[in-house]
Formats: sequence, structure tokens, C-alpha cells
Amino acid sequence: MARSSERPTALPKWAADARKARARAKRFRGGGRVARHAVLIALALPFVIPFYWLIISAFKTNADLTSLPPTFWPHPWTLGDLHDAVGISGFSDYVRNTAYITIFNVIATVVSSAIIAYPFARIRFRGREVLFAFVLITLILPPWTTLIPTYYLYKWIGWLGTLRPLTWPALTGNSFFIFLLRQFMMSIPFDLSDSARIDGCSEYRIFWHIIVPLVKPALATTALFTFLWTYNDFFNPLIFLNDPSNYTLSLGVYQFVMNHGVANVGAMMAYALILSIPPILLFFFAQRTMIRGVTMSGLKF
Amino acid sequence: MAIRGHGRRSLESRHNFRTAMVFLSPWLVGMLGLWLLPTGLSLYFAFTDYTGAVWPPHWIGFDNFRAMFDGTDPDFMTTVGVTVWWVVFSVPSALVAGLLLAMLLNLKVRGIAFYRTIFFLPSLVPFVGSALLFLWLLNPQTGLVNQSLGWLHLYQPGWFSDPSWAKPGLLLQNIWASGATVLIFLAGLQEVPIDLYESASLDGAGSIARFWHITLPIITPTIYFNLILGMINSFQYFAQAFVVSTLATSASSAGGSPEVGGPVGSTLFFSLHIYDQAFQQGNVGYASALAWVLTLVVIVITLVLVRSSGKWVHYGA
Repeated sequence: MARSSERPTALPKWAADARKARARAKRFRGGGRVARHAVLIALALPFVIPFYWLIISAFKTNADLTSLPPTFWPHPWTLGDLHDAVGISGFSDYVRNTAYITIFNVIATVVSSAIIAYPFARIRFRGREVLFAFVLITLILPPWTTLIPTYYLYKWIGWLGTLRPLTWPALTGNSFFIFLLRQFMMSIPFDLSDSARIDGCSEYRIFWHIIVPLVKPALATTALFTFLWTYNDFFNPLIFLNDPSNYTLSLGVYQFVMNHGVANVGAMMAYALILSIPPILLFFFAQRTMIRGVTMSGLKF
Repeated sequence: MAIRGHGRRSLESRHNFRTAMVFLSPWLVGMLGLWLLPTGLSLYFAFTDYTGAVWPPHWIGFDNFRAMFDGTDPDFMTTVGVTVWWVVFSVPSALVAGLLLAMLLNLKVRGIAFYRTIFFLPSLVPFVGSALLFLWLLNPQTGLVNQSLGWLHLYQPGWFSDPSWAKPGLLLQNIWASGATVLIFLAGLQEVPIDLYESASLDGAGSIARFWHITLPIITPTIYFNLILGMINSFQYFAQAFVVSTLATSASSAGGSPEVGGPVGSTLFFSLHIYDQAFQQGNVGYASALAWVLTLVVIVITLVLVRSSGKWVHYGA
């Protein structure tokens, strides 16, 4: 778009021809507009229908859910499934645990990852490259090798049965965000911190007053994705939480269906719907931060 | 940069080192306690018959690794087969579907932002939620998918209760939730300069030729990125398969014990096998050996991909 301003005003003949050809193509494609929408809609359906099904199933009565053929509109609408889902024993515990674990992880990860990324990006010290190589190694290696002994370490120090295995490790930073924040901090001009240093500013003040305000977008990305990852996490709660009163929402619904079978489909779908609301709400409020995180660094959730 | 020495420079370097260590102290604790120590322990466990109960574990040398291949663990070949199947089908299907959808979402039509949101939303549904949804959608009797297939007089698979259809069922769920891959491809496609297409059209290149000679080469870095991420993730595929297999088998066997990786081992992915061995069978030593095999395979494959990238990944113009 900005490119057009760089073009000379008097077009050579071939360019004028090209412009005419493009205009012709555009006119021709006018008829293709309907076709484009048709293709987009056709391919969107397989993505929309399961999502739609999740929503309406949460409002159907059990008779309606199992009626054949399936109906595309609840008849009648019921709040009974939502009521059942919220009413399962332990639900309020799951909400509280999930909230605590998620908030703890978001705050701890943002603070610790920023503090840890700082010297890797802005202080020259002996051994920096070697230590940073360890950040990369922990980033790439699958978690399975460390997972099994970690379980026993937690067992030996009495952490199993508490929420600590899912919270305290966040205080030691997350390799991925250390890496991400380091890249951001390195892109800040060094003149800025050098002149502050000459003025007698300590490293801690430089970090807090100069660097942190400039990497706020990256900190927002860190907070957002830590939230999504922690909230979605099924794996770590499954392994480290063995007391039902400590379960998170994800683990709780799994146990619920495990114990009661797939019989109460309505409650199951209502629970799945409730579970999906926070990330989707967050998407609508923080769409740009989220899309930037995905496209720039391949973060998934 | 010597630490010992005379003058301002060395003083400054020692001061820098000390400051850096203050910043790094939380990380150093984590590195030692949550990474180096567990890594060392797991390497040790892999050569023992540790069960999680008696300490110290009994050293058995390479027996755990031998057990994988000499038939002591009858499930090992199954789990390798399941995992290879998954890598071979899930990675290319996600790449092809992701690229195709991204090309569609790169079209200039009214309301494209709305379409993009629609394709992206499913990836926001938490793992457990989408696993439950697909258990319901793919229910062999009352699920929407089989009802629709029946209406069309097509074959109705047993999905998660049929060993030969459980993995394809997971594949569908995987593609449904691939919105992030689509988004990464979309960002890659938007890097392609429009001028290139225009000049190619003038030279008489058709749409297939333009895709093959312009789009594809320019987005090879994106393909490479998605390929490496997808490969690493698919080798460690766990949560969805765990939830679906245990719930589907516990429901069908009516009160029977749920089978991790069921039915009949058809979704016994490598990570599920590690989990089962470590946390349900109590073969901690053997599970550690399995974890190291998985780690080594992932490292080797990543290195091969990184090495090969020079041949087919084009950076910059």
C-alpha cells in the first residue's frame, strides 16, 4: 500500500498495460466473489459445526440429546445441564484451585522470566554463553526425562498432595519466555542504558526504569500465554495432584466423566462449555496480543 | 575477559558477574533442582529396576533397553507403531490443511476477519473440553457425525471404540484445533510481495505455477518452522489421547477398568506408554529408559531436519 507512493507518476507503457490487465481481472473476479464466499463457508462448516454443537448440547435436555435424528436446535432449552455441571461435588474447589494456580503462574512467570532474561540480554559477564545454552537445551528437550524423577523429588520433600508442584516452579522462570524476553531486550539500543550507567544508575534501576517499560508488549504476551497454558494444562495436574480437593477444572471434569461415565452428556458438554469461556473471552479482549504471540513466535495453546 | 587481573576492567567484570548472578539466582535454583538433578536421576533410574518403593534401586545395566526389543515388553513395538503412524499422518495433514486454509483466509473478500476468527476459535477450547466434545460428536450410535454418515448411507465407523478408527478420530480433533498453525501460515503468506504475483501473471504463469514457483519457495521458512514444532509435539502427543482413550474404554467396558491407549493399544502413543509404565505399573526404571529413548529420537530427528533445511529452506530475497 505504501509502495504505490514510490512509483513514478508517468507510467511506462508496459506498466499501463499491466494495470489494465489487472482491472480486467478484477472485473472478471467480481463474479468469483460469490464463489469465494461459497468455498470459505463450505470449509468453515466443519470448524463451526462442532463448536455450535458444543454450545447447543449444553442447553439440551437428555431426552433431546439422545433423540434420533439429532436436532440442530434445543427443544426445549434447558439450564439443567449447566446446573448439573456447576453442581458436581468439588466444583467450587476446582474453580478456586484453577484460579490460584493460574494467577500464581502468570505473576511469577512474568516477574521471574523478565529478571532472568535481563542479564542474558544486557550484562556482559563471564559464562553468559554457556549458561544461555542451558536455557536453550531446557527449551528443546522433551519434559519426559525430568518428569519422572521430579515426581519422586516432590514426593520425598512432601509436596505431593499440595498445589506447590504446580506453582513454585514458576518462580524459577520459563525457558521459552526467558528466550523471548531476551530477544526483545537485546533490540533496545544500548546507548540508553550506557548513558544511564554513566550517570551512576545501578543495574537494578536500569532494569526497572528503562528496560521493563520498553518490553511491556512482550510482558503482555508472556502473561497471556502463561495464562492459557496453565489454564489448559492437563498433564501436570494429572501427574502431581493426587488429592481430589486439589484438582483443577480440567482434571476435575475428567474425573467426573471417569466416575459417572459418558451417560450425562448434557452435563459433560455444559462443563466443556464453561471450561472454554475464559480463553475465548480473553481472545476477544486481547486479540492483537494473542495473534502477535502466535505469529511471531509460534506459541500455541 | 579474565576475571583475575589488575585495574578497572577486571573490577568491572567481577562486578558484572556478581550483578548477573543476583538476577540469575532464581533461575540457577531451578536449573539445579528442577533440571540437572532430575536429569541425572532419570539417567540413573534408566539403568535400574526402580519401582518407586525400595531405595536404593538395583542396578541392572542395559536390561531396560534390552527389554524393549527382546519381547519382555510386548507393548513396545505397538507403541512405536502407533507413534510412527501419528507422526506420519498428523504432521503432513496439519501442514497441508494449515497451508490450504491459510491461503483461503488470505483471499481478499469482505468479512475475512470474521472467517479468520471462526477458524481460530476451536483452537481456544481447552484440551479436555475438545476431547469431550469429540467423544460426543464421534459417538458411534448417537453422535452427530455417524448420524450424518448414516443419513448419507455411508459407512459409520466405531471411532474411539474401534481400534482401526481411534487414531483417525484423534486426527480429526487435531485438525479441528489447528487454528494456531493456520495463523502462522497466514503470517507467512502475507510476507509474499504482491508484485511478484503480478509480474509472474504478466509472464503468463497460471495460478498453479504461481503457487509452485512463488508462494511455496517464499514460505519455506514458515513450513520449516511448523514442521519442526509439529514433529516435536507429535512425538510427545499425550493429553488428548489420554483423555479420549481412557474415557472411551471405561464407558464401553461398562465399569471395567479404563485402558490407557485403548482400545486394544490402538492409541498407545509413546508418551502414554511412559506414563502407564511409570505411574500405573510402577516400572519407574523402565519408564525412565523409555523416556530417554524418546528424547534421543526427538533430538536426532530435529538435528536431521535442521541439517536438511539448507537444501530446501529459502531465507530472504
